[in-house]
Amino acid sequence: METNSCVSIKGLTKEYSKFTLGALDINIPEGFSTALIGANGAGKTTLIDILCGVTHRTSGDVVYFDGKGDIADPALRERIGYCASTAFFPLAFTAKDIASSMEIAYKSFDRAKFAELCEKFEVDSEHTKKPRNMMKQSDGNRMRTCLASVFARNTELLVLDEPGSSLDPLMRDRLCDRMREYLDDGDGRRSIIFSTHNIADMENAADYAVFMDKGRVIEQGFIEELKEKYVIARGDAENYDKAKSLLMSGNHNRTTFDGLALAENAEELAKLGVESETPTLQQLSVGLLKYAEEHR
Amino acid sequence: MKKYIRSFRLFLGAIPYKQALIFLVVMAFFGVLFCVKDVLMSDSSDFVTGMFQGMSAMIGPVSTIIGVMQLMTLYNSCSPESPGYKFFRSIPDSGVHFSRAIIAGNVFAGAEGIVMLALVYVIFRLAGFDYSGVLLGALILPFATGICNFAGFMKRNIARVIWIVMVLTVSGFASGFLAGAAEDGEPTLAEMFMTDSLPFFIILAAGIILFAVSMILSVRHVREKWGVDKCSD
Repeated sequence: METNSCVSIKGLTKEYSKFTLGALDINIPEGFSTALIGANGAGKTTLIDILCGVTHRTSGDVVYFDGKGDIADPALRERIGYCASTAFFPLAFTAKDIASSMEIAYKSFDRAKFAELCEKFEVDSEHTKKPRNMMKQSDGNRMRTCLASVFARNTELLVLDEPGSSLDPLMRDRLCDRMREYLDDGDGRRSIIFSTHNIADMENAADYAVFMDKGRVIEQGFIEELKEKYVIARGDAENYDKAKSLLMSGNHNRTTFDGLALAENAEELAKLGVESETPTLQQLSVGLLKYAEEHR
Repeated sequence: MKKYIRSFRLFLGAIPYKQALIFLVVMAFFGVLFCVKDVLMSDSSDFVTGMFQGMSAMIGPVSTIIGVMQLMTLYNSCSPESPGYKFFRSIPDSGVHFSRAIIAGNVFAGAEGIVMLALVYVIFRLAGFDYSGVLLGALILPFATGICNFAGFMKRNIARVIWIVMVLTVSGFASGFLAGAAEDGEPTLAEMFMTDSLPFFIILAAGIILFAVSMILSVRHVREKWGVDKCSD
């Protein structure tokens, strides 16, 4: 699919003493929601931190929107909404402090909308009598407040680090709806990047996926295209040894087996009596990450 | 000035004002306590007498630390391990906001210290106490603020806390030493000040220089390093 990029990453690296991210080459499509998928330590948060100017890259280029490349540029930051996975705001802050800080920090922050979203997300707003500070709230409620603050701004790109991990299933569903609304309201100009472990729950929110393992990108593409590129193969255990060379990764028990394979191998698998079906994002993720783990 | 206060509020919210209010209430409580000391000390209890001596020696230095503690909170909030760090790093003009907040925090620490010391001075005068603690507090204030600025960018929060604990400990020792010396018939700090105020002003000037240098270096450090893309290419 031919699309413009809202973020174009070329040769990006970040070196820590015990971990190196990259070199990464990623094109995040404009107007879509992109999921960063990977195991713990894959480098998703580091990548998000670099994209939002929280940490500096060691080398490489990141180009945002129409050729803007310097994340230190305040005008660029104004266009990006960011929410970290944990403790984004100081723990002593109440909703009122958050509203004041956001209002000072961002011209695009709508204080009334923040209060409205806090009430919608069922957390303390600045109109709540004796609002609790972040310290006294659960991880889920902190994330809800954080999401309310980021959706209360008029941005063109949302970068959310593990937005669903601390939310209950119902709230995760609501978040997916809210993310869809955000994209729809943007007429193809708004984009979202989010990292997730809850692939099954957040599948509805993702259009494009970037799979990461140990600081590298192992696969990326539109989810619909990836679902055409790969298949889930299922067969009887007695055929597993013959089919094994055609599988990228798989599991087997005494009676059956299943695994991820390239769609181009589906015909050969069929000859072995192995059925192929379209994978879900969850199956795709597990298969690809397992493959990457086995071939490090 | 408004933009400096806004930047300070961005980092600390309404917390400094709430804390200042709490400390004012505490000071008012001590004020009442000192004013009714004669009633409390009527039984000549050693405990009550010792408590008032200790409080009068320590209340000055402690009241100067209140604003410094808020300055320390400001620096703490910008340490990568602290909650809020990612928010502060990701906002537009984060370095400018942080440097303004440091300047406002220093002014706030100084102003709050001076107001508290003035309050303690009034209470001591009303209660007829020796005001050496106030003079000691005034001497400590610029040093404590300066040290807090120098310690502001230490990587570990605990190192910063140790610095501040050291300042408090030194103040405690100095207060104890002066109180002990006064009991042995030596002149109090207030009496020394009345006799010859030059050494007092020299120490104060040294403290103010340390404070000014530390603030300038701190602000410069933030403007050069904070939020600036240090990409090697």
